[in-house]
Amino acid sequence: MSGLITWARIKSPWLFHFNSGSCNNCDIELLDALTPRFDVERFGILLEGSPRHADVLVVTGIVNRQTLPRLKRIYDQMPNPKIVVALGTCATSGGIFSEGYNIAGPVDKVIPVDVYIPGCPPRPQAIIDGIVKALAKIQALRGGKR
Amino acid sequence: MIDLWVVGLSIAYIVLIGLLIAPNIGLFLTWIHRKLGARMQWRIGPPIYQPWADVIKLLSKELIVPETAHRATFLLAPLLALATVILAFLIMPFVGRTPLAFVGDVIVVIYLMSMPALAAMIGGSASGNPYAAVGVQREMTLIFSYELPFIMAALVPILKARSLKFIDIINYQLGNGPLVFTISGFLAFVVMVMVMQAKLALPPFDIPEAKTEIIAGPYVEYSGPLLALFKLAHAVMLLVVACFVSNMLLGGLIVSDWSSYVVILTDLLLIAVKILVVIIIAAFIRFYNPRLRPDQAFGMFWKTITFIAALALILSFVPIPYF
Repeated sequence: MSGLITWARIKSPWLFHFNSGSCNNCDIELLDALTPRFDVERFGILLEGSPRHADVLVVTGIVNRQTLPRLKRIYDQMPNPKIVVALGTCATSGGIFSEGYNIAGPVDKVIPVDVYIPGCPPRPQAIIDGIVKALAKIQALRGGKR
Repeated sequence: MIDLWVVGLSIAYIVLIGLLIAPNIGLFLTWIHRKLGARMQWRIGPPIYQPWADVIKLLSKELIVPETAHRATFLLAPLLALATVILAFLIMPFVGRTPLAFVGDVIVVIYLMSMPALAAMIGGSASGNPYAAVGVQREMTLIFSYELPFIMAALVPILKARSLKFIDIINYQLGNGPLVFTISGFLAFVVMVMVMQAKLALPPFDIPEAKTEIIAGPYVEYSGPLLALFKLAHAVMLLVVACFVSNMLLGGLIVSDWSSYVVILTDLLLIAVKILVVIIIAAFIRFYNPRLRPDQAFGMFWKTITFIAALALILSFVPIPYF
């Protein structure tokens, strides 16, 4: 039974995309990865509009003081089990903005992050590879609650 | 005194056909939709197990009831949606016979087919989310605009067969040929295809759950198992609508002779072809059209489609063959 559930979780990751103060480059690349050219629906990946429907939270951008409470709230709104993917250099480390006066991030300072996808911006291939690594992590955890 | 055998057989029928066969066929039909959409965009598309993986995953996830929600209503609305569509499927003849047939089953099925939209409205308004409120309001306006032409189109086969029973309508079509090959029947088919699209909330009429405008409409706050029930209800609804159109206008889902294997096989094949034709038409409309603005959709239903339905209704009274 737990094997079936793990299988279903790996085969059907639904994304929710949150921009926590990004320059939009990572967002454009994420949307590029979701176009028919890369056809991520082969792996069951869909972009959902509501965090309540999603399994994977994709965060782009440095987390600034404005978006900090929103990011926390959206993370809490997602049903367990959930995965967080930090997309882009800013989300993983803060990048060139890491010493800015209004920075509350990077993402792993605020919420637990499972997979980091560096790059400014990362290529769509790298994004798909990152999501696949996140799914391998579910396989390793056997779908247990984090 | 009720015979225990009859009760046992009815329960077995409901469990076997309603809870096992109907959702699985429905999920298969949603896969056909997604795969066709993928092929139309020159991509490979999801594998055949995709809808099952989605539903199992959603069933295994956490269930969140928002603080603002009315708890009991919020929890019961998805059950209402799934139960009503499965009941509609059980009442309709699927291979020509159903133990639940009675006089007036067409009316009951027409009512049951509007229940999923009502359940979405009930659940959406119980969730206390502003996006859901907008979705509920849009869903309500859409129901008001499509129900009238739908009932007018459904009256065409009822008046032709002079009966409110599915079996009589199917038998009439067995004698006189499928109604879609008559002028009034074809117009009713066009109306029903458009209404079907709105009933299933597919583009161009996915106004109530428009993802880019109001996130997911009434389903915004639903998570985990409850969302899975809504997805299952939507999948079974796809099957129910296809069966309804096939029974009313495409000659019916019927095995005409149970004694000959050849007839059984060809008729079962015909049943599959009829359902697939309706599903594929819906998929083509869905993937080749953008979403209409609410006022455009309501105007289209009230002006064009109601007019076509009225024309079909009038033509069905003309006592000439092929009218």
